[in-house]
Amino acid sequence: MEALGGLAIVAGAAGVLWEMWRPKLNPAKPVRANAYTQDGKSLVSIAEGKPDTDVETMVRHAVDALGGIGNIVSTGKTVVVKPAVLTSDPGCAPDPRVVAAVAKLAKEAGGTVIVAESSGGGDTRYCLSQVGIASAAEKVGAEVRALPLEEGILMEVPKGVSLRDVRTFPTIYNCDVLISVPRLKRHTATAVTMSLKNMMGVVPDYEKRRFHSTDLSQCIADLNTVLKPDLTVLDATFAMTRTGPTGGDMVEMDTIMASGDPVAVDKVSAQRLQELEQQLGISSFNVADVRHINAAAALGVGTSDLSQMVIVQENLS
Amino acid sequence: MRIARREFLKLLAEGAAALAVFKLVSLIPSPPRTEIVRPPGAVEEEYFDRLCVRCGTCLEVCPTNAIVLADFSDGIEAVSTPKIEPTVGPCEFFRGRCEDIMRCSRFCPTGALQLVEREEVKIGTVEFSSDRCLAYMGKECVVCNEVCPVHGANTITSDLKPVFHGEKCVGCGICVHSCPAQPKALTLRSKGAKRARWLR
Repeated sequence: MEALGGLAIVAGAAGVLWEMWRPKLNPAKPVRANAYTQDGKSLVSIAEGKPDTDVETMVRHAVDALGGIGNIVSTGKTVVVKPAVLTSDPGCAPDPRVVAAVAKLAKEAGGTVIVAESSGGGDTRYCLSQVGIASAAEKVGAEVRALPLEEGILMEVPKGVSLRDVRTFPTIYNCDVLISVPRLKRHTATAVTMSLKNMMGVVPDYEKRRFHSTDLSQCIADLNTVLKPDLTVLDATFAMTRTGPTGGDMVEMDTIMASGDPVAVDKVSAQRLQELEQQLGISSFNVADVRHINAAAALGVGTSDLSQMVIVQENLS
Repeated sequence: MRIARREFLKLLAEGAAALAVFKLVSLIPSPPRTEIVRPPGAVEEEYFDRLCVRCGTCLEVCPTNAIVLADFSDGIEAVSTPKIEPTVGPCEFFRGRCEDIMRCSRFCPTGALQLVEREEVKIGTVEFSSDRCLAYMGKECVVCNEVCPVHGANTITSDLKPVFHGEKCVGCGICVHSCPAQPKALTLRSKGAKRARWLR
């Protein structure tokens, strides 16, 4: 009888401890509707410059052509700018001037700006400082955060096909506005890496490993149903062709694209990249077969249908 | 200090017994010492064993914690000497926080680890098992190629499978660290390691 009582106490204590330490499943982060639309269609702006055009001017034109950053950022909002920094190689990260220009725009609109990243191929703080983004962002008054130093939080993925839940970081979960700043690049596994694939950098490393060992393209699409950038500013000043996300050939394009719809901007920029590769005579990929763009469109993250987009082209001198 | 004859003989016998036990334990078969993956700049194994005083300085200064202490599985005489364990952390001597610094060699007090040029270093070679590789199972994964810092050490076939070129590999273990497969498809071996020369 005494033994039974002891067992009950042990079981009760174990239950209490499990309740204290089990990972808490948080509700999904609410996704806001696209703030940049025209007659219900997704706006995509393309600012094309010359080799000597000021990068900040191009970013301003691209964002203003959509309707301005004021549509999403207002005074007191916490804005996270997420550059795509995989390794310490400056070629595979977006131009620091683009990141700084976006941070400056958000700052001018009254937001508190945090430049945050979780690099997959090296120490995040080292990578951010090595590619020049840390110093450029600090110069315009943004805070630089290495996400892997934070403890992850578990979040539901209600619309997920491959993912039921995913871990992210408190900075990302609690921010008001998320801005994605990728570079236009090829990728050996997923054909291209732009805005949708950039969201791989707001989850911890073990989640990235899980994505790779299940179904990468579907996981990227699932992730974007809960962590969708409110604005994407795509750096195509130099695009990485032939291969990627590291070690490809850099080709000058002098273009900045922006959109509130990550699927639309990925589709349009992927087409540009395909055209560029065909001009260069490199064995290219097929835009219609990029699985993560199609999967994200099927889940309603955005539209990959060109007839459902309004493309605004600006040529700067 | 005076020691009684009885005490002295007792101490002598104890010392002899300890030596005998040590010699007996070292007779237990252990893998050849050359199979241990040493940190960059390590001198040849026969000198390494004599020069390394097991002070642990290299462990403390390593920014990635890639250096761990060898244990009994590496042979009793190698216990507490440093070895590279890429599953814990990659060695960033070629690219990363230790690029052109090589803290472990710089801080080694005895010269068991010598400060040498980056181009002279080859820690080992990565061994690839395609039966554990996610890409060979049809998954979309080329992480090893994404993170490899050495041009041409890892290439991708047209059907998106990684191929390793051991002669170009420097053995930094970044790919081993990043490999998402469980168990990992990559193992770092000391094969082909370039050891530093000990200048007497």
